[in-house]
Amino acid sequence: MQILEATCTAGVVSANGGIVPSCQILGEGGSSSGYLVIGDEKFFYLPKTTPDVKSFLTQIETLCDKIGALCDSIKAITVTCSAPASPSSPPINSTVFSVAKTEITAIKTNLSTLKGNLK
Amino acid sequence: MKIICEKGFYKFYPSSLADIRRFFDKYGTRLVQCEDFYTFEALASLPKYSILGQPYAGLIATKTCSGSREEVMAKNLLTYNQSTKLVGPIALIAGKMDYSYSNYFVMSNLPQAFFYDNFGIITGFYGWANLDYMKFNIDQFNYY
Repeated sequence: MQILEATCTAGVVSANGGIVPSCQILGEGGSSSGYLVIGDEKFFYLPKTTPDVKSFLTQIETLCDKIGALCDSIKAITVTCSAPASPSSPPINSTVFSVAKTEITAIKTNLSTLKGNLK
Repeated sequence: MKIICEKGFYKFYPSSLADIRRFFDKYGTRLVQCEDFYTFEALASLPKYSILGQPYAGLIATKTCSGSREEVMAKNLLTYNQSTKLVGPIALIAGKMDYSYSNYFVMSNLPQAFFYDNFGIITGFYGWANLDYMKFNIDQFNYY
C-alpha cells in the first residue's frame, strides 16, 4: 500500500504532479488537501479533516470573545430619561450592540461556509 | 551468482562484489543494489506504485496500482528490455529462447523475459550465472 500527499479540487484528485483519473473520494466532497491511498489495484482519496476542525474551533473562540465583550457592554448600559417616570432613551452605548450584531453575523456566515465546505 | 527473474524484473544475488564486477565486464551493464538484491539501474529506480496517465519508468502508466516493483511493472504490461537497457512494453519483446538442455537449461546470454520457447511465453526464471564460463544455467522457466 502506498500513501501519497494529494489534493481534491472540484471533485478532481491530484497527486504526484498530475491528476488521478477515476479516483474514489471518501468524505462529503469539497476542495481539500489529503492523501491518495493506493492499495494493490484499488485506490481512493482521503481528505484531511484537521484544517476544518481547527477553523471551526477558531470561529467558536472568536464567538466566545464577542459574547464576553457583549456582556461587558450590557453591564455598562446607561440610559437617560427626559423626565422622571418617562420612558428611557436607547442606551448611550447602543452603538457597540450594533457592531456586535454585525460581527456575530459575520461569524455565522463563516460557519455556514465551513459547513458547506465540509470535506 | 543466483538470478531470479519474475515478470520481467531481474534480481541478482552475488556471492561477492566480484560477481558484480565480472558481470559488468562481460555485459557492460551495471548492477546496483536494491533492497537485498542487485538489479539493473532502470529497475532499481522503479517506484512501488503507478498512477494512470502519469510518468512511470520513462513511459506513461496504464494502471493505478501499488505493490512490489515487479508487480507494478507487470500490471503496466512492462518488462526490462536487455536490448535497450530500459523498461519497455512487453508487446515489443519478440524472440525465441536459445538454450541447450542437460540437467538444466544452459544459455550463453542472460534470458530475456517474455521470449518464447516450445512451451509458451516465458515470464521469468530461476537460475544462476556461471561467471567463470559466462554461462547461464536455468533451473526453471515460468510461463503465462
